[in-house]
Amino acid sequence: MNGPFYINGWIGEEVSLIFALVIGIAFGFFLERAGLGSAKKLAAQFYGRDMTVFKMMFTAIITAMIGLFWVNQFGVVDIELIYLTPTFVAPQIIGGLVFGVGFIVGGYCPGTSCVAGATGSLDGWMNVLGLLSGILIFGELYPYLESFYNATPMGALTFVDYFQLPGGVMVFILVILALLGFWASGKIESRTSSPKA
Amino acid sequence: MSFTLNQKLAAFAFFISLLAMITSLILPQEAEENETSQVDYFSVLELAQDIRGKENISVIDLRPASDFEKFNIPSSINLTLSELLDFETPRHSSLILYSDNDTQSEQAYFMLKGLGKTQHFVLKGGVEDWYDYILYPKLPKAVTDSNQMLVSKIKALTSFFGGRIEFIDDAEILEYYLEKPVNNNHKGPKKVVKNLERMGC
Repeated sequence: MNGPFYINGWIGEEVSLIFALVIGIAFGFFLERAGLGSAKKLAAQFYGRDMTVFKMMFTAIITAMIGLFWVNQFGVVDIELIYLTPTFVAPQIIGGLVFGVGFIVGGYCPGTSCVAGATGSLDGWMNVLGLLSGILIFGELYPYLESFYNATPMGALTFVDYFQLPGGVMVFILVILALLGFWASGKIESRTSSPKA
Repeated sequence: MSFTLNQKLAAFAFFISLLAMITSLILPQEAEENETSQVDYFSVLELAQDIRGKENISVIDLRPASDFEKFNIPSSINLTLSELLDFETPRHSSLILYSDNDTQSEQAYFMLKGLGKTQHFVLKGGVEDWYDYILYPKLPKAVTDSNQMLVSKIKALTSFFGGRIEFIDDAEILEYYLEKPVNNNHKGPKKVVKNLERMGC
C-alpha cells in the first residue's frame, strides 16, 4: 500500500475528505499553538520584531521536503504523482503582493484568520469575511482577469527541474539556507527588540 | 556543553539532508522519470474526429448525473469516480475522460494510472472546450491557404454534431486548434507538455 492513497485508489473520495478534515484540524491546532492565531505576532514579522512566521513556514517546508524525499526514496510515496501548483510568474508575483498587503493590513493570512476566528477573535472573523468576499469578487471579475490569470505560464515547476539538480542536493541546499535563515532571524530579532527592552 | 532542542533539531535536519544529498549522488535517479507525472491529453478536435470516424474509444463523463442529462458529448457514458475504477474498458479501446474542468479528469487519470491502466486520456478543456470549439466555434472570415484544411475540418465536424459556426474578424482565433497542448501516445511521437490547470490551495 503506497501513496498518494487517493490517486492510487486506496481510499475513496469520502475517506479522503475525512483525511482532509483530520489534517485540517491538526494544521489549525498547531498553527494556534505556535502562536499564529495572534495578529500581533503575525504583523510583528513584517517589522522584523518576531520571526516566528518565517521560522515556522520554513520549518514546515524543510520538514515536508526531507520527509517526502525519504518516503519517495523508500518507495512509500510516488513523488511524481503529487499535485504541484503550476507556476504563472506575473500573476503570482502580483498575487503575492496583494496577499502581502492584505496580510499586513488585516493581520492574518487565510489559514490563520480561520484559526483566530475559531478562538473567538472578531478580527479573525472579519478577515474570513474579507477572504470570502474577495473570492466572490474575483469570481465575478474572472472573465476580465482571465488572460492575466493565465499569463506567463511555466507549468508545474520545481527547483529540481529548473536547476537540473539531483533531488538530494536540492534538499541539502534548502536545508542549509533554512538553517542560515533561522540563525539570521535570531540575530534580527535580538537587534530589533533589544533597544526597547 | 549542552545544546538546546532547536539546535539538536537543526543538527538532525542537517545530517539527514546531508545523507539525502549523498544518497542522490550515489544513486542518481533516472532523470527522465518525471514523465510519470505527465497527463496524456486529447484535444476536442481529435475527439470529434474520432467519434465521427467511429474509432474505438469510450468517452467518460465524470460530471454529476444532472449536468450529464442537460448536456453531454455524444456517445459518452456518465460515471462517478468510483464507478470508473470498476469500469471494464472494452478491448483495444481508449478511455477519454472529461468533466467541467481538467482537474477532475486529471485526478481520474492518475487514479487509473495507479491501477496500472495506460490507454486513457484527458480531454483538454473538457465539456467547455467541446461546446466552445466544436459545437459553437468562432472561425475567422478570412482564412489563409495553410489553414483551409483545418477550417473545413472544423466546419464539417460542427455540422456533424449539429452546432453552429460564428464567423468573426479575428485571424488569431484559429490558434486554439493549431497549438498542440496535447501529449498523447496513441498517434505519432509523444509530446511532453506540462499541465497548466490550476487547483486551489
